[in-house]
Amino acid sequence: MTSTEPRADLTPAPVLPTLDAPETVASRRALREQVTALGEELRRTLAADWTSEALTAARGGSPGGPRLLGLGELEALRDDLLAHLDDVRAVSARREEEHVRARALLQAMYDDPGAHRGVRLTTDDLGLPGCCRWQVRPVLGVVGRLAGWWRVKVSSGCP
Amino acid sequence: MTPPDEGEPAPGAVDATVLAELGEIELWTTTATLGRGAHDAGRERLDRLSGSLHAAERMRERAGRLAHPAYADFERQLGLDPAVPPTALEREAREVVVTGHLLSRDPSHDVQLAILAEVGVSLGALDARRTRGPWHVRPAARGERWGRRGAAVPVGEVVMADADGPVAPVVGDPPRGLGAGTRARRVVLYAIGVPGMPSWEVSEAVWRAARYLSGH
Repeated sequence: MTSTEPRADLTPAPVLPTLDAPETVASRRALREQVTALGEELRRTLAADWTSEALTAARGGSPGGPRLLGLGELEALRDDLLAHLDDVRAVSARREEEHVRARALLQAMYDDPGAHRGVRLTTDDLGLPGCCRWQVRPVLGVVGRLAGWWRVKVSSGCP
Repeated sequence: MTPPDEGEPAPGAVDATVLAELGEIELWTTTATLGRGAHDAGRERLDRLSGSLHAAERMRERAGRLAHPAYADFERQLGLDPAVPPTALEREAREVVVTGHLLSRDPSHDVQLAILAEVGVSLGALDARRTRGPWHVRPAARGERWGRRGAAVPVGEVVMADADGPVAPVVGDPPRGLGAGTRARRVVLYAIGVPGMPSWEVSEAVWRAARYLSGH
């Protein structure tokens, strides 16, 4: 027997029973296109808001190896992607609200340092790149602390 | 059929069902024999790439991956989670963001890592003593095993196979015993071309990897 002949011990595969109906081919193709478009949207959303919370919200997939998905599985995949996209956008919106609050707080720290003694913000809190920190500290150390002289000190640069 | 020259990428057949479902899937394979000094050259190549790869930026653009974004869609279409790189090599390579170094291990590993870093093509490597061409892509049938004697392959899993049976999943690490390890002197390099990736990019990646390994 040559190696190209079919092996008798292998049953012809009823590999994908759900793929047998020809009328579902177009439906599956349409679903795959939706999955591709949603996946691309998810990738762009994650690129715009690159945080561990957003990445966690984007996790999906099912156990098992690579396989051809049937109509029902593709529908579930599409719905999961939509849900993940909503979750990631919700995480992004929540973080944006936190950034707006942090920027308002920074402005308040500059306006009235004495009312915000010891408050510290980082670039991460403000949604900015880099490693800058803003902290309300006393001028001249103990003297400023006793005299009530406070200011916002900016520390820039990564360690 | 005359086998292709060593180092020259050859297209493999793809099952009609897979093509109908997933679109223009391609398989590119070649064989390469390790040249003298392949290990040192691989280490030096990774050192150079470590200095030029903008890994953090790339991973941000690609949702945490180093591979081409088209692979993520392909994996998703096959029921996998693209947030988790399917190969140990890519999972470990993400550490470059922390360490700043693409770590060298053995020539086959190093060349796969170099190609992943350079062009984002996910390359596989099999020990040429364990498989022989031509290779093709198809769903696994009932009763098949990895390399005939290995673990059972789940029915319907999309695999790369040779005349004797499945040798590697179409996405993910080859099973133990079939993958090119530290002792492999001759390896089969393969890559899957997926929709959204230019065909030439994948075949050239395979060709380039073979040249790296053979020391050209």
